[in-house]
Amino acid sequence: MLELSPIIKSLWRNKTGPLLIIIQLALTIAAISNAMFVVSERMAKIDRPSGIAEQEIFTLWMRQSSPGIDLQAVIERDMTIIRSTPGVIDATPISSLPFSGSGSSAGMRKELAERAIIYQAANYEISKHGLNSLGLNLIEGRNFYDDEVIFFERDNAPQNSVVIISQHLAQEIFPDESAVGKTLYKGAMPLTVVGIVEQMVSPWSDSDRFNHAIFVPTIVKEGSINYLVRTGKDDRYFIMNSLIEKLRALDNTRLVVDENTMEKIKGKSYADDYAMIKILMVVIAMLILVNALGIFGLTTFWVNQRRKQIGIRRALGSTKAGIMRYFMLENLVLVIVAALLGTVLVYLNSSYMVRTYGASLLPWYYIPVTTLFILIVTLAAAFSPVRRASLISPVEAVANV
Amino acid sequence: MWKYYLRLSWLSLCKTPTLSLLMVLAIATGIAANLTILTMYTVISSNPMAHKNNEIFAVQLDSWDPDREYFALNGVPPQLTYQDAKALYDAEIADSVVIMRKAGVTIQRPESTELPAAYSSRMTTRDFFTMFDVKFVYGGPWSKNSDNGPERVVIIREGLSNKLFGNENSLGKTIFLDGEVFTVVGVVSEKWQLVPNVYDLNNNPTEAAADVYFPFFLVNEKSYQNWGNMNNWTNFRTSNYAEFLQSEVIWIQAWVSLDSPETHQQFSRFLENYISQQKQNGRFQRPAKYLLNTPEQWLDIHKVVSDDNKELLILSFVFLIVCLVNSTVLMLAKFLRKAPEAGIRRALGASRNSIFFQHLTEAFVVGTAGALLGLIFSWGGLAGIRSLYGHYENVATINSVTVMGAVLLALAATLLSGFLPAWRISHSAPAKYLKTQ
Repeated sequence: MLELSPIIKSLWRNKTGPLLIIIQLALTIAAISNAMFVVSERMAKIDRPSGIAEQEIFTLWMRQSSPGIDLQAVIERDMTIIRSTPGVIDATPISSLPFSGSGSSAGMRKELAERAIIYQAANYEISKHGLNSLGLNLIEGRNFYDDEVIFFERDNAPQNSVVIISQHLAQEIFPDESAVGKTLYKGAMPLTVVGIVEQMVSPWSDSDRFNHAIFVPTIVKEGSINYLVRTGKDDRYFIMNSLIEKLRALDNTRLVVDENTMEKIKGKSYADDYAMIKILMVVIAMLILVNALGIFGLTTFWVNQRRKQIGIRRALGSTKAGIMRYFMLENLVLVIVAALLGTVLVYLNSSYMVRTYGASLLPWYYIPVTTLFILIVTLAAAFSPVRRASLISPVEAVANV
Repeated sequence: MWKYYLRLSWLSLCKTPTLSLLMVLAIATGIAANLTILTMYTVISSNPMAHKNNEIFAVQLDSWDPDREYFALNGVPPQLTYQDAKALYDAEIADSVVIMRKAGVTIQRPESTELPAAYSSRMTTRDFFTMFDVKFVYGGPWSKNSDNGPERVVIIREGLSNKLFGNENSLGKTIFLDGEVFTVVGVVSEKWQLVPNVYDLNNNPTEAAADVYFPFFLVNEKSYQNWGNMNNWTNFRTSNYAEFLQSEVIWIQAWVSLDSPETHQQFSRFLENYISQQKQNGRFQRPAKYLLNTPEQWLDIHKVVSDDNKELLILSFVFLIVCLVNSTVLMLAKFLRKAPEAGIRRALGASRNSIFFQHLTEAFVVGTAGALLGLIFSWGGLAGIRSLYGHYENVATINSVTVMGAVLLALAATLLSGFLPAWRISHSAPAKYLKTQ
C-alpha cells in the first residue's frame, strides 16, 4: 500500500485523462447497476406463478356464424371428439384466455348496495372440465356440478349461479373467514362461492390485479368460443394439428383458427418485457466491451509513454511484480473513485424515477456488485499491456530513446 | 490547408491502426445505440395529426359511475355510450363527426369455395376518411346516404383487395362480410398508416390499420363481434341487444372537427346543454364534465410514450456519452504522445491555431468514420428492435430523423471528443519537448 500516495500524486498531476476515465467508469457503473435492476424486475415479473399447466395446454378459436345453429350442441359435440382423442387429458370451452390480453373483467360486490366496494376480477366462463383442463389446484370447496353448467342466449341470461374464485381474490374480499358458501354479486347477479383455487391469472399481464380471477359455469351462446385443451407435454403439437383438421372437416362453413400453445400466448403477453430485457442486456454487454477496449487502449499508451520511468524503476530494484502492482493499483484507485461518483449518479436517477414514475428504489447492493464486476473487467483489460510493462528491461532507462 | 490537415490526419491514424480503430468503434457503437433508440422514440412520440391539432378533437363525456370516477387515464371515460354518440352525430353542430368502433368480421369472396377468414375492421362514419387523411388507391369515402341508410358498402385495404381480387381495381365488386353481400366503394393505400394510431388508442397504438371499413350505423341491425373495448359500471343487466344499445356501456370512439372558434363555442354549449338535459333524465350523475382533446392531448392522456421508452432514451444518451468520453481519452493519450512532434512544428513557426485545427481535423475524420459506421450499425439495431417488438414494424425504420441525427451526432462527437485533446496539445509549451530531443 506504500505506492498509493505516489499513484494519487501522479494521477493528480495529469488530471484530465484520469478525470475523464473516472467520468466514463462512473456513468458505466450507474448505467449497468440501473439496467441490471430493471432486468431483474422484469424477470421476476415474467416468472410469477400462473397456477396453470402452461406446458400442457393449447387453444383454438372456433367461430360458427351460420344462422340457426345451436352453439351448445356444436360445442358439446366438439368436446366429446376432443376428449376422446388419445393423449388428451381434458378440454373445456372458455370465454377468454389467460395472458391473451383480451377478455372481460367483472366488478364483484359483497352486497347489492350501490355504494358497496367493487372488487375487479378477470371473468372466465368455463365448463366443469375447466379446472382440470387448466391444471388448477382446488384448495377449498368443490368443482362445478354437471347441472350448474348453463349455456344461455344473451336475451335469456340466468338469474343466479355459482362461482369459483382465486385465492388472492378470496383473501381480499374475505380476509378473516372462508369464502366458500358466501354470496357475491356480479352486477346484479348473485353468485354462490363453491370453491377456491390456489392460483389463477388474468388475461392482462400488466394489470395490478393479475391474480384476481373468477370462474362461472355460464357460457353465452354467441358466435365464437375458445377451446382449451390439455395434453401430455410431448405430443401436444401433434394433437393440436390433427385436432384442427378433424374439427374443420366436421363443418367447412366455420372458422377453426388461432391455434396457440399457452407458452406462445404467454410469450406474446410479455413481449415488451422480453424486448426490454434483451435491449438492456445488449447495452450492458456493449458498455462492458467499450470500457474494456478503452482501458486496454489507454493502458497500452500510458505504459508506452512511461517506458523510461518504468526502466528507471526497474534499474533501481523494483521487481516485475512491483511494476504490475503499481499499474493495477492505479486502476483500482480509478474504479473506486468512479464507484463513489457512480453511486451518487444512480441515486439521483433512482430517486427521480421513484418520484416521477413510481418505480421502486434501487437496492444498494447492485452498486458494489457492479463495481466489483467492472473492476474485474478493467483489471483483465489492463493485464496484457501491464504485463508488457513489467517486461521492460532496465536497460531502457539508460538507452537514449 | 484543409487538405494538408486531412493528409496529416490520415497518416497519423495509419501510424496507430489499433487505437484508431478503437476510437472509431467507440464512436460508432455509441452513435448506433443512440440512433436506434432515438428513431424509435421520435416515431412513437410523434403526432401524425399535428397539422390538424387545433381542428379535430376527441370527445370525452363523464357518464360514469356516480360513486367513483373512471378507473384509468384522466378519470373520464375515453369512449361514449351509443345514445351519447348518436346524439353528437344527430346534432349536426360540429363541422364533421366521426363515431366508430373496432369490430371483427369474416370475409369471403362470393362464388369462392375457400373458407372465410376473420379480419380487423372499423365501423365508422364517412368523415373518418377525410378527418384522418386516408389515402385511397381507388374510389373514396362512401356517401352521406350510405351512413344514414345505412347501406352495405365497404372500403377495403389494398392488401386485402389484392388478396381477394388479384392486383386489379376492385371497385364495384362484392364480398361476403359476415355472410352478407357488401359492395366495395374504395380501396385504401397500404401506405396510409398513422403511427401512433391517434384515432383509437384503446388498443395497441402501433398496430396496423384496419383491413375493412363499413358504415357505423349497421350496429343497429346486428351485434358485430366486438374487437375493441367495452366498459360498464352499472348493475343493470341488459337482456337483449336493443337494451344494450341504450345502456351505459361505453364502447364508441368519437371525434369532431371544429373549424372555427365559433363552432367550438357552439359545440361546447351543445355539450353543456346535453349533459344538463341528461341529468334531468337521471343520467350523468357525476359533476358535469366533458373534454375536447386535441390529438396531442389525446396521445398524452393515453401515455403512448411509455416509461420504458423514456428510460431507454436516457440510457442511450448515457451510453453515447460513455462512448464519446472513451474516445476522448484515447485521443488525448494519443495526442499527448505526439506532443514532441507538435512542439517542433510550433518551434518552426506554426501557430497555436493551426496545431489546434490540425488535431481537430483528425478528430473530425474519426468522428465522421464513426458516424458512418454507426449509421450502418443502427440499421441492424432497428432490425433487432423490429424482431423484438412484434408491433413495431411501422416504428423502427430508418427515416430522416435517423439520418439527420447521424450527421448531428457526428459533429457533436467530433467537437466533444476532439476539442479537449486538440486544445490541450495546442497549448502545451514547445520548449519542454525541444529540450528532450
